[in-house]
Amino acid sequence: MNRVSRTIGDVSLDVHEAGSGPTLLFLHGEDGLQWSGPVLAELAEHFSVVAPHHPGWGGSTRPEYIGEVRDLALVYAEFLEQLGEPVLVAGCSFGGWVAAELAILRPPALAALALIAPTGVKFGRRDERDFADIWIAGFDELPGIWYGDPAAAPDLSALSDEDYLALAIAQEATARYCWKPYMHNPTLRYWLRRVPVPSMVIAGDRDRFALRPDYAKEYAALIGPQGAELRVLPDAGHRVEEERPAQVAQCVAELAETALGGVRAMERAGRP
Amino acid sequence: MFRTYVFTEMPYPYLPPAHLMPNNRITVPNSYYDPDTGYQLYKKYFDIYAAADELGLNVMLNEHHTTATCTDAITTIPMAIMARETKRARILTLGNPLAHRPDPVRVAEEMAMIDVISGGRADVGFVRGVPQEVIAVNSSAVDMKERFWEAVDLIMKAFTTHDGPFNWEGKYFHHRNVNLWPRPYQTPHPPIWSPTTGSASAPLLAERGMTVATLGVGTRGAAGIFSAYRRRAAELGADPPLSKFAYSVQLFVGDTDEEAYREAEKVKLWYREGGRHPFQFTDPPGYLPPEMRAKLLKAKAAGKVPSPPLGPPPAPTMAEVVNRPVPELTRGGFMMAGDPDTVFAQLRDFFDAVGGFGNLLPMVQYSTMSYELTLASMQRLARDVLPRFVEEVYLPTVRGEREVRGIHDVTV
Repeated sequence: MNRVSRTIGDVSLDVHEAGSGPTLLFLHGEDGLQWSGPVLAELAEHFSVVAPHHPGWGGSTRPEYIGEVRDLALVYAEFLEQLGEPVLVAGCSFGGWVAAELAILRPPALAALALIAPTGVKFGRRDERDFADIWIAGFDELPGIWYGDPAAAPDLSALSDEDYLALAIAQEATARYCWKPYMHNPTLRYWLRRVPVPSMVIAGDRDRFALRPDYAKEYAALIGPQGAELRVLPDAGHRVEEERPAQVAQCVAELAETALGGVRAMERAGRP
Repeated sequence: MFRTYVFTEMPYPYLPPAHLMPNNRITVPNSYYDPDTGYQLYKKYFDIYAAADELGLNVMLNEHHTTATCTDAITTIPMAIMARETKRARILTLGNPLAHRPDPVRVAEEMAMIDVISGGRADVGFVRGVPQEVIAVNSSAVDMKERFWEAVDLIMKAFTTHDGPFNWEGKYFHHRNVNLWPRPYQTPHPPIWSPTTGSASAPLLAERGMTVATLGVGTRGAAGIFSAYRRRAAELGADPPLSKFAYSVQLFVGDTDEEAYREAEKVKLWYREGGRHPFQFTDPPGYLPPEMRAKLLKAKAAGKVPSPPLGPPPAPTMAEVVNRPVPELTRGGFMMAGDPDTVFAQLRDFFDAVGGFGNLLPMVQYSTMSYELTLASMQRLARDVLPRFVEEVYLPTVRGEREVRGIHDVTV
């Protein structure tokens, strides 16, 4: 895993890079890249993975004017322009929300979209929660919200001081972007039809963060003209990419095959 | 003039005990609140304030949300009642939680009305808002300080603009036509106060000429905060009067030390109730700098119950103070309690150690303390402590006949 710095306008992105193959932009969830090692390793088997910290997380800088998810989408739209080639975009949870906001901007380099237990859309009534409230929940309840098997949650007591700082920074950044409206953009659902590329929604069947039983299915139905493909992985919770990294990577690879198969055949034939 | 502003947080003290109900705020169903009991409690609290006015004391109000610890949910309501019910008392709010309030202009209107109705007796406190309430008022803790200061700037401009409307298009607040009617009674505006428990914010208050208040941080804590304020004021060429400094403390004055120490335990319960809630309400992301919050996360993950110290070392933590004896707490300036002579000495020693101050904000009531008990303490304070303190300590100091030594080496 290489760690490089990429400059996007006023932002300096702290980026992890690994693997080879088609380029995959991996957009992390609430806790940053802290627990993403296994899924990045699995994805690197298939892809040239580019995994930035969002502005506000890790070593990425955040200019003062960047404070909404739409701003992050614009940062990544510019990042895609720099990358130039066809890029798959995959995002987990909050990163899925960012990926969805990015996709509706229709950046030319976007080749496919994988939303892994995404947030960003609310379906329920105004007095109905779509997501468990992680800021009201007790410290000891959080593993049961994020993970299908709470025992599979990272052991926080084993973290280094540096990791605790990264976690505190990540939690503040999450609050910055997700406080109100809670974990969603009220208008995003009406624009998801604009997603112009093959798309997939991947979720665990024991997601206790997304409280609607068919949240992922409802979300997938909004994407693009025909809806996105839905993959529900058994015995996994909201942090499905942590709990089933190989299966998630396999799903994304299959999406890539659908989306890039044609492009790669053209490349092999020597045509642009 | 040395001023004493008494207050009660108007607690609802009838929840089940902590071993049955560990939490007393935010998520406690209000079926535990009996409105008729609440009615009786408000009567008691307003009677205490009315008595304070009769005794020549001033009054202080504050607000907290969704909590049994403080049923004063909206500080402007009791301020407005006081504006009519009291005759002489200055009416301090400490204060308006500006980072939690969506519309600073509305705050300016409320304060201006109260100032006019009371004939210029309002003291206007601005507070950032406590972390426990970001959930209750759904106000993110992220960038709270920045929001707070923009709100202060907008309100001050509203208070002091008299030539017609102005517009405000800031980062957080937007108004196309700010034009305060009524404008405040006091000119150029009511005294502006703000509390802090650390010396980092004190210079910002000094720069704006605001009255710095600090709450229960002990003698060393207050000394550190006041000297940070004075240093910054001196850099700016100002020599702030004692009226710019305020200290809030749990207080009980008894006929004897023994009685006072016993009854002061009831005021001390504030510390127990103030810490009676889970981690996530005290430490929402964004309230503390990540470096500090990382340490709390680490402690929490290790199964500890992080509890903040009340002031600089060797101050006890919120959790520890609950079991410390009252006389010990009085020695550190975390409480004031005793017979009139004892409290006089505590007040004098505190005054000297912090380089002097001009406003005492005693919490005179907490828990189930009755009107009679509270009144007796306030009477002794007003008759047997304060006049002597003003005569022997405050006025001679102001006249330059008495030197205050101060502690100057404390960073909070």
